[in-house]
This record gives sequence, structure tokens and C-alpha cells, in this order.
Amino acid sequence: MFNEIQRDAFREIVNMGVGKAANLLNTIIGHHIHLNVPNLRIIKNENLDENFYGTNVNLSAVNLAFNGFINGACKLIFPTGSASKLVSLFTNEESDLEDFDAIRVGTLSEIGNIVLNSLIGTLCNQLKVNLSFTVPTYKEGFVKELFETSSPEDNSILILAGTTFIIEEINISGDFVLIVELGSLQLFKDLIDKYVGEL
Amino acid sequence: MEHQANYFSLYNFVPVGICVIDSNYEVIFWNTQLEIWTNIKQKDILNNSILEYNPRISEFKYKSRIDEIFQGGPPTVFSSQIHGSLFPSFKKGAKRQIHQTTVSALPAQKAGQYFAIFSIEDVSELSNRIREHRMAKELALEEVELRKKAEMTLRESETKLKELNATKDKFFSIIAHDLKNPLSVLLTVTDFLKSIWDDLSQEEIKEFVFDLNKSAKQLYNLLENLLTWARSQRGNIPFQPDLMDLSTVGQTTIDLLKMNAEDKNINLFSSIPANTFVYADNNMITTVVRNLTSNAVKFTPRGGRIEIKAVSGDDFIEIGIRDSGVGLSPEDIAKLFRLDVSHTTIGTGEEKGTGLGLIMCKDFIDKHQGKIWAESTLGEGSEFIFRLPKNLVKVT
Repeated sequence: MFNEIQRDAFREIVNMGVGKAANLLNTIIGHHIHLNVPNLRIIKNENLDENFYGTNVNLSAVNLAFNGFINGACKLIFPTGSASKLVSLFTNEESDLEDFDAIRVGTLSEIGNIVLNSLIGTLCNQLKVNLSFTVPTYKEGFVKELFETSSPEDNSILILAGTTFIIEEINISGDFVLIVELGSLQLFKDLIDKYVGEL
Repeated sequence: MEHQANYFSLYNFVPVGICVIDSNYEVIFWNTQLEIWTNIKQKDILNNSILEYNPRISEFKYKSRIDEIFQGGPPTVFSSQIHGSLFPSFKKGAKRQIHQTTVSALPAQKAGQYFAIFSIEDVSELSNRIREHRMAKELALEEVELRKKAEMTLRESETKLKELNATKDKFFSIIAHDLKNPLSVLLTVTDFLKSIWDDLSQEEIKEFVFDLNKSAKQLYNLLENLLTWARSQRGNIPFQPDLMDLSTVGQTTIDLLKMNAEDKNINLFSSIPANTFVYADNNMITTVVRNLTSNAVKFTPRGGRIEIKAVSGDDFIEIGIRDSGVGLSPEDIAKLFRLDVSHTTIGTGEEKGTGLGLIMCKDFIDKHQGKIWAESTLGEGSEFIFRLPKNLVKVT
């Protein structure tokens, strides 16, 4: 699906975006925050592994859809328990607050928004492409519900990048997922090739 | 600018605050809802910099994100929990609102240029309700925790009461039977002796006196244990750990019980090396070793062997009294050291025990944060061992 050079180029762009996100998050919360993306997996939506987090794990996702030259969406996904812990670290609340109320959802949406915007913004800048975006949304549910598609034939490509937030020596793992519609895949690969060619 | 403001006038009819700024941070639209919330009229803020109204927006954490919007970047969210409100009210005495703000890019008339549109949602009521709900939940959880603690205290108190009751029962049982019986025997025998004294030979008198002395000694030992235990139960025996030599305890015990052991031709010896120092309460440890050794003498047949020994581990020291006596079944071992179960075995020389000595030993070892137990095979002998922790024990 992606050759090794394209993978490396994508990983590099993600790392740039992640660095930018960490810098901004540092400024907002005043704690040292480190973000890293240790692994990258590219799979077809239809092959979405149910063991992505396990079928019965409740997940929290911040979603940002885009369209234009390429169509798709990106998500930042955490097991809901981890998401709540992350919000607690950002707000200095007690970490055993399991209730994920509307206010805490708003906070997670902002954290997700910062990470997604940095990643997608870097991607747009590096690939020199303009996209239109929807307002970020929050969704909670099992993995199947988060990746529900309008069409049964939808076989988008999912690029899964495992992301770890390290705040005050506490690691919280989530996933950055870039969903590229199949019709846009070749264009996306061409953009990456062009980026590599200009390096 | 006036024209642009009219262009956005539809936003005057929505229940959220709407503000539009251009890339110079100048306000080009301010809707009616924002006028109500902030007490600033559109005509007063139009064409003015938003940074003058709220200088906080010029901070890196806001401006760097808003600047991206003017490049057509993705919408950005400012959550209520982290930022409170980016659009404070200038109304005197107005209650501080809490806002959730989303800033999106809005294409300007000029190609490639964007305005930033702020959509401000008032979440004050929601935040307050959630806060109240959280407080109520925390209070409820605190109450549950308090109740749990109260229940635990009650349970502890119930266990303590049960123990006290068992202690009282044991005490009365000893007075009623174990003390009364040997005293009755003494009375009966002395009455009998009195009536037949003139008919007895010197040898027979000697035999009676020997038996009487043995009974009196047993009675004395029992009384001594009973009084020590009673003092311990009343908290009248202070715990005073100090450096003490275990080999001395072994030797003192042997000296005290030598005669009893010799009567049964038992080889009683201590293998504790000289200068085996421990940090413990001398009186308590001496009482424990004496009790365990005295028991071993009782339950070891003629010609047997009893060893008092000590083994030092990494973080503990163990003192064992091993005999070649009658031994104990696993069922009987389970009954040892317990107040709630009565266990009595008759010694090889018809010696009678109450189990009180072992209960007292356990009390004393517990005070040292130690452990006491028995290992035995029926017919092959027993070993009673107690372990003292090294954080209390200093072996030189």
C-alpha cells in the first residue's frame, strides 16, 4: 500500500506535527509534556482489527473531518479511562474522577484538537495542500462504533500512529488515526512522493 | 466594515455569541448575544482590535492557534475548564460566565484570505450543575467511607469483645477446674494422711510427701502462669526490649528444669552459642522459653532428648525447643495458641496442662511482632519455634 520511503516520509511529518503539539500543550498546562509516536500501521478500514483496543473497551475519540484535494478524517483515540486520566493531569483534578461529563469532554476535545490541528496542519503545510475542515467532534463507544461508515463498501485506508503522552512521568497512550478515502489514496501518495522528491 | 457587519447579521438570531475578526485582529462582527453577555455594543467595538478588549488573546497559547485560522487551518477549540472565558463581561456586578469557544476559518472575499469566526457557547449553568453534582457525589462517597470505617471499628470492637469473653471464660475455667481439682486432691490426700498417719511407715510417708510436693509444684506453676497472664491481659506487663543473651536464657531454663528432666532421665541441653545477643524483652522471652521447655519435659518419655537451639536468618532469628516426645496430630496443632479452643494433653508422667502457657507465649511473641508455631509428627516428637524480626533483633 505504502512503500518504505513513503512510510518514512509520513512518519517524519507526524513527528514534526507531534513536536508542535507538545510545545503548545506545554504552554497551556505549564507542565513538561512529551509526545512520541513509536509505531505506524497502515490498514484497510474493512480489515480494522477488532483487537485494536479489544471489542469491549469503551473508547473516547476526537474527530476532525476534512475535504478538498483529498478527503478523509483524522481521530485521536484513547480508552475512556485513559482519556479521563489525561484530562485530570491537564486540569490538576483528582485522577480517580471517572465521570466523563460534558465539561471534561470539552477539555479532551481541546487537547485532541491541538494534537490533530498540529498534525494535520503540518501535513497540509509539508504536502502544500489546502483542505476544508469541519468543527471537531467528540464520540464515545466501542471501536466498531467509532469507525462506522455511511457506505458498506467504504474501504478507506487507515493510518494508525500509536501516540504516547508523557506528563509528569505518567504515560498515557492513545492513537492518532488518519483516514484517507480510497478515492484520494493515490493523490495522497503522489503528494508524499512529491514531498520526498523536494527534500 | 459596516457592509461586512450586515453580511453576518443572520448571526444576531442565534443563541450563541458570535464574533468575527480579520487577520489584523480587528472586530468586523459582534452579535447581539455577545452585546448582552459583555455589555459592549457592536458599534463600540467594530473596527477595534479584539486584543484591546481582551489582551489575554495576544498570549502565545491563544494567538499562535488563532493565527493558523487566518491561513485556513482547522477549527480550534478553547475549552471552558482550561480557559474559563475569552469574552468577559464588562457589566458591573455581572456573574462571571464560563464559555466553550470554537474558532473556525471563514473565507474572506479576497481569495486565499480568511476571517476567524468565534462561536461562543455559554456553559455556565452546565458547569455549575456538574460542579454541584460532583460535590454531591464526593459528599456521598465521603459518607460511604465514614460508614465503612464505622463498620470496621464496630467489627474490630466485636472481635475484641469476643476475645475478652474467651479470656474471661478461660480464666473462670482454670479457676473452676484446673486450680480446684489439684487443691481438692491436696485436701483429700492430707485428710487421708491425717487419719492414717500413725499407721504409716517412714517409707510410705516419704512417698506421700513426694506426691504432695509434686502436686504443689504443679499448682504453683499454674498459679504463676495464671497471674502472669492476668497481668499481661490487664496491660500491667511493660514491654521493655533490650540487648539480651539467648545462651543465658537457655542455661537459666536448663538450671530451673534440670531436676524434672533428670527425674525422667531426659537429656536436656542448649546448643545456643555463647553471646547470641538479641534485642528483646528479657522477662517475656525467658518466660516463653521456660514454658516451651517445661512442656517438652512433660511430653517427652523417659530417656528422651530435648534441645534448645537458635538459628539466625537474613531478617529474623528463630529459637526452637525440639523434643523426642509423644508428638502432636495436625488437628491438635491447629488447636494450640488459641483461646477459643480448649486443648489439654496429659504428660508422660501424668502431668496435666491447661494450654494457658502457650496462649501466654503467643501474647508475648506478638508483642515482639514475631511469630510462634509448632511442627510435629505424632510419636516422633515436636518442635516449638518462635521467630523474632531482625528490625527488632540485633545479633552481635
